[in-house]
Amino acid sequence: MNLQEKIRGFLLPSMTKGFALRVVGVGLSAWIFFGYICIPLRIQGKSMEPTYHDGGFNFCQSLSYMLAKPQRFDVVGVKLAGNRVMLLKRVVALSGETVEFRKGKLWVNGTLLNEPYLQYPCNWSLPPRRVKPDRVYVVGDNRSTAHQGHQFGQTSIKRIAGKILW
Amino acid sequence: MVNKNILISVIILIAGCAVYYFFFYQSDERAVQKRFDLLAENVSKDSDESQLIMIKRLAVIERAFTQSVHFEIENRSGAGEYSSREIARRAGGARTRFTRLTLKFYDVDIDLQGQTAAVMATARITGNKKNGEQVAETRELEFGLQKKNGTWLIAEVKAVEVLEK
Repeated sequence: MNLQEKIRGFLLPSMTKGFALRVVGVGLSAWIFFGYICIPLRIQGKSMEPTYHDGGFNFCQSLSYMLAKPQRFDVVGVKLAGNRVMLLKRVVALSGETVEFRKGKLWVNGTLLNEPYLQYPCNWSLPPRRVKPDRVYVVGDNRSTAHQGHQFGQTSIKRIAGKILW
Repeated sequence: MVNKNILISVIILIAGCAVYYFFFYQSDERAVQKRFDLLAENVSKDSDESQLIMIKRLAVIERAFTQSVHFEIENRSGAGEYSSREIARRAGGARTRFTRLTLKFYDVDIDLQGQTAAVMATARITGNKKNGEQVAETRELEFGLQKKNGTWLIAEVKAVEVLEK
């Protein structure tokens, strides 16, 4: 078989049983991997600016919390009715902890949280509230808008679809 | 030759079944899905929408709901009973504030229970207001539907609180 025939065979393979099985195998693996294990995300919105920009691309690793619980500062995907649309947020407090906003600063269990990822001014004030069992408290990195217009708060760990890849 | 004819017949039969299923077969689940597709299509607005199209779309929105619809929105005002006409009127009022508006439903999960259906979905509204403000809202919604005279109508809408401040 000369080179030209090899290239032709690679680009236009004959439909043999083995080739059909390989195509099905690759398709099935990709469906499982990208549908359930490493879910591709296109970021829409500015609630995680400047860490994640509107129009950016990333993956949500659904296996990251199979054996461990979400940790503080993890950026996670929060499921809504399914996996097709998620909220991208940062975990700032864990179950049992008390969360409070004082003039834009976040206090957890009465201690000021160091948040180097915040770049925009924030003036939020919210009285202390305790994170219920099996829940985590999530907030976006962009807190420059009024808190009434920003989706944040405590959510069930079951709603965490996974950790953002990078 | 016989084998070739059988193969062609099988392919035509499969193609016919697929065409029938996708274009003509109307199961309850598909009818409910179509209800949401129609609602999304008619709530959405193009920048060059005429008055006539707007009136037609509001009529479709009104026909998507039962006479009386129960709205439940946790920690927000606006909950209560609304007539389908009132919903269409409010939708019309909201649409006039936008130059462009898109409503899409994702992850529509339909649970049929005889003449009623419970539907979970993620609704995402994006658009541009006339004052230039960009809007992008995502909510998980729970719907209750009833089948009346063969038509699936929305009777209940509940906003699910995914994040509790």
